[in-house]
Amino acid sequence: MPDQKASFETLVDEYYVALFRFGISLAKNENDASDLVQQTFVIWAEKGHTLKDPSKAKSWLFTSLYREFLRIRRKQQHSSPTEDEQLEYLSEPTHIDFASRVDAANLLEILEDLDSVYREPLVLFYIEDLSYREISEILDVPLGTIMSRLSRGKSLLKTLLTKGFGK
Amino acid sequence: MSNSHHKALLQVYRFGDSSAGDHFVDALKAAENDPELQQFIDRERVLDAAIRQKFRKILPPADLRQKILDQQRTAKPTRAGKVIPFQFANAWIGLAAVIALMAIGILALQFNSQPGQISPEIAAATEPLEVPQSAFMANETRAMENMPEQILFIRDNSVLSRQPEFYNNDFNELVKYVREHGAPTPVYLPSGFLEKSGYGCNAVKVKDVQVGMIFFRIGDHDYKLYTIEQARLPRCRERRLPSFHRMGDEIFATWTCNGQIHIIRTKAPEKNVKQLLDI
Repeated sequence: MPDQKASFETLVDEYYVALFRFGISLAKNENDASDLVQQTFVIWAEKGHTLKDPSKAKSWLFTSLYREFLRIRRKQQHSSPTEDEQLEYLSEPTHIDFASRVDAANLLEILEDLDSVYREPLVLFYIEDLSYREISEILDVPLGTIMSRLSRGKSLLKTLLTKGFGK
Repeated sequence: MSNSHHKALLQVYRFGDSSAGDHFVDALKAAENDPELQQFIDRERVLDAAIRQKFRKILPPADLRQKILDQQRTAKPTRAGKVIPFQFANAWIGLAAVIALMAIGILALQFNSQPGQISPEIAAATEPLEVPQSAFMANETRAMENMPEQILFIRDNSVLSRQPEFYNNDFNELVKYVREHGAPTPVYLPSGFLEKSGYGCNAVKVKDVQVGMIFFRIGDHDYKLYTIEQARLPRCRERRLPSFHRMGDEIFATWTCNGQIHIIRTKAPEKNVKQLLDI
């Protein structure tokens, strides 16, 4: 049991920051990103033992977080909140310390202008040492399509960066 | 393929990641003889490093880690960690795997019992341009045998292991000192070193070869960056992508760029070096 606890802690230490970065790029606010990360580790605690290859843990966690995000988004689309709630949700600021992390915040804003089909692989490309194949597996998109989206996404990002960093 | 098509591919090329199969092969081949494409790759690496740097500044709330751990402590017990029952259907798969492993083992034994059958030329030709992380440890012994000339050169000359003879925190001053003493300095710095200032340098002449050395302290580890003019070691192979080699407790990474040979020498973990080289 202590071993199990230690390995869970090790896994958390190793990946929770990167998962949060991916989560915030999807959810666009800190609270939802934190919830996604917590939920991902809940799923791991329940189903992680079914993973036969420990080297796939990273990929497994990112995949779980992404699927959880899609599940919540689908649910929200089916049961739309009232207009007021929606407005409040949309206007909720990203709780990043703008004073000390203005570059990171700026980058997230810029990424928001990218279509999600380009943003998602690009974020995975940058935040963690995920291979092209792992990105393809996490997003459940063929490798060739991922390569095209990365390339197109980076071109778009460069254009946006040129505008954005000049602000 | 046109240059712009190569650029479209190469802008997302990442050293050390072979999972895209032959996606980059043509573009990389074209880049070997095209300085414009080479400069393009270098610029993209700098941009990628800058973007990664910004991502690293996104930090989770301070209490998130504790919340995850607390949540796990209060959660109901799960099957995690329990032994999964052996299923009959898996037995055949297991048996097949054992047979396959035995066959590979027998072949490997036969192969190794014929020493010297691989000529140095073939060994050199098959030496990977990039060493995937997973292959790094497994290939350690082979990598030692195929150690590039420039690393042997450094290893065999103890003067190149000395501490700095000039200390300064201003990188420009270090470069100035090395150049004034007739040794080369990097035309392009690896992206991970761009924001680091360095703390000392040496300019050393060994067997008529001038070697510029710049010392960095990053985190808890020291890194020596050696620069040698490629023409001084003519047997050194052109190598745009860094290759990694381990000797004792040290890691060496080497590559060529703009007619220069670069070598990083450190006791830092391999992943730190890869991060600095943006791999």
